Amino acid sequence: MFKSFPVDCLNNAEIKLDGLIYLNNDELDKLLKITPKTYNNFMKPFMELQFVINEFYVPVSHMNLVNDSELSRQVYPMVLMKITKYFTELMQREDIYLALKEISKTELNIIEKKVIDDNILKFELSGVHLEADQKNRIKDMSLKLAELSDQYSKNLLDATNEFELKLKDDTYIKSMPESDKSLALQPDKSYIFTLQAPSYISFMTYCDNRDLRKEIYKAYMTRAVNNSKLIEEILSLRKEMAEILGYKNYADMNNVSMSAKSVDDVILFLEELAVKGKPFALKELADTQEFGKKLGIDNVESFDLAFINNLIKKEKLGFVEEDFLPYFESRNVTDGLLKFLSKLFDIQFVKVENVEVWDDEVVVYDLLIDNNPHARLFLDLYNRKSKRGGAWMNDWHTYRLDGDGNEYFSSAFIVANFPPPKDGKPSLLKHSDVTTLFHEAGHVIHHILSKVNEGYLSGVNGVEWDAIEFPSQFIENFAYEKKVLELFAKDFNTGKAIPDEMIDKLIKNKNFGSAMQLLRQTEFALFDMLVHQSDYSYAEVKGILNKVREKVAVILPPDYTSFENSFSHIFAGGYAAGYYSYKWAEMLSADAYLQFSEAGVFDKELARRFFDNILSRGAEETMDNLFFNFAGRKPDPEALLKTTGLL
Amino acid sequence: MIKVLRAPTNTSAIDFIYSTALVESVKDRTALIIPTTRALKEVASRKLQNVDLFTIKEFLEFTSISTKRKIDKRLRSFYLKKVASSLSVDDSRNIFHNNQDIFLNNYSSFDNISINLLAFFRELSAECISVDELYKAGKYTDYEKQAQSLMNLWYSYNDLLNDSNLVEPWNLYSNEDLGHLVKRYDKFIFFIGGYLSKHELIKIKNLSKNSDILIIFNFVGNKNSHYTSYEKFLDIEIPDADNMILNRDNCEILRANSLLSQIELITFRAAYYNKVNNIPYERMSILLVDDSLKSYFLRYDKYNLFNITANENIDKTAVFQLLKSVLNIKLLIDRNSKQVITLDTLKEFYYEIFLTSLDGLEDVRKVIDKKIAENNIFIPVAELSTLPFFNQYFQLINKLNDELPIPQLIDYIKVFLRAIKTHISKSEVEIFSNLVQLLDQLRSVYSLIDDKLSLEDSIYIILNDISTLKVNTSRGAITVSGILESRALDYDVIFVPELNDDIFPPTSRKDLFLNTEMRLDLKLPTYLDRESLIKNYLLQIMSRSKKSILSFTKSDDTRNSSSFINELSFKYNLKAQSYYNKEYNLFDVKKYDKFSDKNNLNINDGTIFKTEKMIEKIRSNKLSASAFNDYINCSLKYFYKRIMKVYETVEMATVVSPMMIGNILHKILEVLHTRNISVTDKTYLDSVRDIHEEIISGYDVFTTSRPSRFIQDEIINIFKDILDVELDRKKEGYETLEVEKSYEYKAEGIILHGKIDRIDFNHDSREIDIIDYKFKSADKLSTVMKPTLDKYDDLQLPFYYFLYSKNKNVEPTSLYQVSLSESYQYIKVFDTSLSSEAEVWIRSKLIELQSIHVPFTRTENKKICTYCEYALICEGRV
Ligand code: SF4
Ligand SMILES: [Zn+2]
Repeated sequence: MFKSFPVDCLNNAEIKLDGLIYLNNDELDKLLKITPKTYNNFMKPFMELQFVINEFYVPVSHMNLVNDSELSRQVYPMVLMKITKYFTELMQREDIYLALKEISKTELNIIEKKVIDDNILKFELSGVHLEADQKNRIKDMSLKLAELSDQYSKNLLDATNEFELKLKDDTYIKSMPESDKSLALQPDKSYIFTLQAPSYISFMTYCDNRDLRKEIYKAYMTRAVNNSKLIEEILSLRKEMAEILGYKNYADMNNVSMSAKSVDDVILFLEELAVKGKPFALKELADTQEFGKKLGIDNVESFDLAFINNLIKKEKLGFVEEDFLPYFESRNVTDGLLKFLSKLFDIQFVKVENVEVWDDEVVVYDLLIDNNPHARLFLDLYNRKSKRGGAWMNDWHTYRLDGDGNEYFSSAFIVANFPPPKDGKPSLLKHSDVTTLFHEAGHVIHHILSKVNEGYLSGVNGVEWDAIEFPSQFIENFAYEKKVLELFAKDFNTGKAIPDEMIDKLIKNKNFGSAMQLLRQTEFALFDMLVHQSDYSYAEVKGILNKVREKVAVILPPDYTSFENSFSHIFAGGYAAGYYSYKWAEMLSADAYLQFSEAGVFDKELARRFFDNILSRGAEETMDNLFFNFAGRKPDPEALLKTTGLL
Repeated sequence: MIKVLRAPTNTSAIDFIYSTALVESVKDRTALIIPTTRALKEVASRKLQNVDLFTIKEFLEFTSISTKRKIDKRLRSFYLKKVASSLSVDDSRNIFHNNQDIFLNNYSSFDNISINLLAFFRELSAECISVDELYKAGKYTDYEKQAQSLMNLWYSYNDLLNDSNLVEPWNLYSNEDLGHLVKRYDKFIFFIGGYLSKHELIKIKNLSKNSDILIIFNFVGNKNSHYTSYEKFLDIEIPDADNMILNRDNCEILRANSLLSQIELITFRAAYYNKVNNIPYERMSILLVDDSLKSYFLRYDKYNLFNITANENIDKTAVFQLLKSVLNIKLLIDRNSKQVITLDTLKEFYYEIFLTSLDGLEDVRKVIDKKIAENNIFIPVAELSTLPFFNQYFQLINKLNDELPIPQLIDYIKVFLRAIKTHISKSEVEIFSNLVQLLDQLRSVYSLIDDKLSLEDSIYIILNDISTLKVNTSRGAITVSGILESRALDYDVIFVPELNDDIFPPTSRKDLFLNTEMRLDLKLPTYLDRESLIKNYLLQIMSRSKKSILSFTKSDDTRNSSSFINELSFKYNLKAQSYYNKEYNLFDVKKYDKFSDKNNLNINDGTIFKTEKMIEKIRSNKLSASAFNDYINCSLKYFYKRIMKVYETVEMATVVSPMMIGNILHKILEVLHTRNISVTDKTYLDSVRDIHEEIISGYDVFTTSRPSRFIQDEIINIFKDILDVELDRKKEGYETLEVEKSYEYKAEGIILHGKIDRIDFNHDSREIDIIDYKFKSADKLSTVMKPTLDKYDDLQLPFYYFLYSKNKNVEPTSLYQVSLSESYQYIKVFDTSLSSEAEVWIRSKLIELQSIHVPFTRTENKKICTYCEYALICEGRV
């Protein structure tokens, strides 16, 4: 039923991958020769072929992340290169595209139709269907765009590295935590701060010298002026590309892979957030200004915010992260998390012993729905040398039925870097670790609770990217919910449950400054959305940013800043015309969460609806529809303000 | 006149034959004689003018004349058994030793030895060996007697054939008629890959008197004594060897953990060479060192790549399985005087996986399940007809008499097949009609015999014949064939999997009646000659390919790479790379075919609560020592194995397992005892040798893949140790009282039973010893010496103590396990002063076993899980 994890997958991985790819291509050739093609005789086996490759690749890449070794360093890059080449070439194959087109004209049920349409769209977005010269133009532009993005990040990186601020001693950074200080400490006892994020943020938060803050802020906000020219080029290429592919502009083009119905919907949503959030942000600003006065700062500027807010937080919340550690012993937390999920969705996690895994610390659970095995979950939570930092979820198998009606069970991994239990001392987690774990668990259940028969729409496959963070952020919310914390947040020494005041503290800490935060992200997202509507000149881009700020921001940065030159998320990363998706998914999750919270969390009927309409449905419909089916209405942006304590 | 050529090693043999034949046959009408049908087809496809093609066998038969009918090979065994049964007591004993009852009483065991006998006779005949020569060659006095008896058997066999107007073709080779051939052809070309028999040599020589002959020899390396003797006999000179060039860069050796890994590797590699090196699949070949491997390539041919020449056997089809089941049930019913049949047996038949594609069996299964659920153990035959499928069809077979002529059985089978025709799935329609055709053919073959046979024998014979029917399944482009079949052919890429020392080089079964010494004496090719021949074939095919990938299985200590691999890696400095798989990317290996109703069982939480029905079942089964061990090791394991009866699907045995060797040793010891052969007898070791030979002929593995010599040697060595140790024990006054005796005793409502290997008694000291043989090294035996009984995982001997002392009312003095592997050693394994504690412990476990309050749970000793065959189910990943 479940394949065990192939700990030996790196051995001969290249032989195997070569073999799989060649055999796949042969099979594909055979499939392409079939006439007439139908969903069952072409699409079903076609999907299976890709799953074979994927299910081989995932453990290999996983091993590279969690068990770095001589072998993995040798094998993984080769495997990655081959896989990338395989999938890139696959997406450029016109014969497959034509096959999909042919099938789209046959009789299909709704789900089959979505599989075909989604895939046709993917092919069309890479220009497969175009005339040769246009196709070439697309290819050229893609290359050029990749180059420009690359240049944009390089310029930014150079600029970031260019600047250094040297302090001859710690006079101005007395309150900085030792860990941060030690990073800046030089052999000659001086301190050097740079524009690298950790260094910069720490400095802005703890440096009590206003001029120094201003100096570094200015350097930060004026990085990479040479990116201005690139922005114009990037926007113009994006526009042209969108037009060739038949869209009005880049934002419209991107919208087809989103669950938000249209670009206008997104803009309306963001504007609503701005309007509703602004009064609260003004209030927060007023608090900051008031506190600033006490410090002798009459006119609070952008470069004062972090510094002052940190002091307010300390004074008002008295939040000390370490106080919470005893309540979050890692095993209690995982058990509690699984208990919570089991209770909420009426499912079962059964620990599986004696399966082979890549490390002794890995724990394996089988997920049972109605007492039947449905999926397998691997938890690898503790930090170790050979593991890449951070926390993530990765899906391995996807629930589906193949053409012969064989049922495949799904599986997923959660990897984190929590401190391991050592020398009899337990592993204690920060609350932020707990929310991380809940977040990843949200992704996991989205994947493994799927009951969709079509693999391409099952689990997290095919979910629009402004919806992918919905279940994860949804579950994350429960890490602050008293009824959930009750299940596991007990002092590991005394067994005493976490007191209500402490839960309040957690929530207050989370909500501190949330309005300003909300507006900042809204500002970025709105700018991103607007700037991708045409091939604007640099001056126009600046103009758009200023207009957005007038509408959204409560404190205007100085004129000399040029934020657009360092907004690599959208000009060099994958978030162009998609920066809003964080907020969008957050809205869905906040709305759903509030319903649970108001119903007292463990509400069978509600949970069943969430399960039946969202978690088990993968991408069977757009998230827009799925949410509507679940809630009986559209998501409400106000929910976002409610979950952050503003309403 | 005889001309001689030698095929160059590094070019394609087929090309060479073709071009030679082309040159030779420009004017002359030529007969070209080639060893294998495959090579023949290859040459034929190139269309030579003026050339007629023959295989050696065709040629031999073509040149022999007879007025009698050649015997159908299927009748050989039958006639041979007939004459064997009427041999004199002495002859019979000389040939079958004390096992004549076993061999002569039923066909299945006789069949094995008859293959040996016939091979022996065929060789005598082909090599023109006279009886005197044979006597002279036999070094033992015993052998002369045996040889004489063998000859008697042979003569009476021929007489019987003669009376039936039949003849063995190989007896005809001397009745030669070359005239018509000489007239027809100007020239004869022989392509000789292996050794020539005396007959063949004579025939060639006679032919050369009136015709031109060209012999092309094709072998690697220097001429051995056989070739020099051909030179002398035919007055020819065989050219010396050219240099075989084997490019080491083209060879790759891989060490894999299973055959399946190798199949996966081959699949991947084949795709790679096809895509990257542009080698068409048709130019690749998988050479198998043993035919039994073919079925694996069929089963795991996920991408339809393989073209398996001698296709799959019919025994994997539903039609065959159904027929077999029905006939076997008939036999079971007949054998059982009470006219009942156990439901378990019935269930096994009807749950047979090959039958799942049949319609109409579902109802039968339901009825059986229901009966079992109602705690029934038997079903009266009279009631069988209440089973729908049975009522309709089984009645047809049930009318069969105890004794009948074979044709009559065939008629019944045909009626039955006709009746079930509608149930046959589409995929088996063709097989079905082939089967009917074969039955018609068999009917005419067996109509020669009007003897009445026992139903059991006739069924055996017919099923055996049917099982030779091949199902046509070839489909892919990569040839899968035996090494011998493909000699003289060449490929761009060859894969040779399973190059393990237990199957390659293969050992010949001819050695049963003609041992190596005698072969040397008679100047016949020995196993060494044959080994080097087949190794050379392989080398030759390799040298002509662009790429050869050799692989072998090495997963634990039990199997080693073939000497061929070792020689090759030594000579060419090639290192074996490893290709290990724990999970397969290509195949889903389903291990527990019978365990399909996962919904009835929540195995994941590892706890199974007992039901009344289960307890009934526990009480109605006898409890053996090993079942008891299972229970104390892991009650869940006991549940899977003894209550659910979950079996692993049995893979074909392609190798001789240590367990099998253990069984053989056991049997030898048992037979020695029953025949009263004692260690003090001078002929002890010889008897061991004989008994061993008798016994191994009863094992299937030895008929599909040949036993390697080393097993024989190993066994004889063990018995040398046994001899020493047992002689000493004898001196100390020990006498063996009983061997393999069963004991039963009812305790706490459960019948315990056990078969105790041996009980010794010492007349001087009045001591009684219980002895248990184990095929394990001495340090791995499990001893029970402390009162902490719950810590032990093997309580077999305390269990035996309990059984024996309760039955006989005497207390055994010592309990030993004897290690049969490596060294023969007595190890005391149970401190008898603990016997009363042991009894209490065993009883408490028996009570616990039946207690509804104690569920079956997973063991806490995870070491047991490592070797547990149910680990997969237990983890829930079936
Ligand atoms: S795997 Fe372990 S627990 Fe499961 S049945 Fe086997 S021995 Fe018992
Ligand atoms: Zn996430």
